[in-house]
Amino acid sequence: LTGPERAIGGGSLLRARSDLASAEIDDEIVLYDDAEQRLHRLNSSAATLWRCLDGGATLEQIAADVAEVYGIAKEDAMAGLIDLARQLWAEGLVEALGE
Amino acid sequence: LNVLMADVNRQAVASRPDRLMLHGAAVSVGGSGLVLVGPSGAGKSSLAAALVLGGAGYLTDEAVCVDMQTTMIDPYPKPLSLSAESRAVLRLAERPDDSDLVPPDDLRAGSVGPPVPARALFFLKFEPRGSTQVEPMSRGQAMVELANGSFNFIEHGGRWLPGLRDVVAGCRCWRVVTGDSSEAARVIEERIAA
Repeated sequence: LTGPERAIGGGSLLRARSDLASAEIDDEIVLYDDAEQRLHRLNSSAATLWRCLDGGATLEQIAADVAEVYGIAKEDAMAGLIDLARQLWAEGLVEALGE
Repeated sequence: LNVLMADVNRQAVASRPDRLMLHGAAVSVGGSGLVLVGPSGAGKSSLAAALVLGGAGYLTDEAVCVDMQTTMIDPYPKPLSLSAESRAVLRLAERPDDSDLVPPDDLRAGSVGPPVPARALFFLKFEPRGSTQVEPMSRGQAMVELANGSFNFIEHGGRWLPGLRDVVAGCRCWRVVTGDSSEAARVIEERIAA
């Protein structure tokens, strides 16, 4: 299942699209989609998640790491990450690898 | 004459396919290039003229040509397009030919500046009767808006993304909302001096 109708949750295994051109500037990332001829800006939080989305960990596993590194509750990390992941998914910037 | 100038501008853009061409104006202050970006009617030319009247070097008011490797701005000192209303606000003398095209030397003799590196980006929005607001913006957002305000970025797309990043990385970036080009020029001069 692809497209915005897919449910993104803690078990989702996502991967950043490798066909996008990217450039890091300060703590942000700017992406360019040649097919869509469209630029996307990822703010600091979205850029951090983007770097983690290599298809090797679910959002829940990433949230656990984030919670440990930043010393916050896993539930809070999870809620924030899922919200960001849904935005990346809606913009077509990530691919789902299955659950 | 305006049709002819538009054609000359198109030729100028086409003549440098290796350079990033921005829809904007540019001036130089103390060896730094200030690029004014915005849609038509945002006040780019009026603000450029106000800055030149205040002592800035004039580079262009239509197509800003940037070398992405060196970040240098090439001067393209065409006459500035200033409406009668803009000329009145800037207190410029009436044009004998009633043309909107004002040679830079008519603003200030010897005002055309040399090539300079881009060091500041101002993204303009015109708001009638509004007081001038200048807010810093992130370089990431500036990259997106600069690309969207370019004549030729889309032709090259992702291959030019690193070059665009290099240009923006060397600049301070602001969003400017103004309805008064003279006031905006004063505020920008203060920001640059800070």
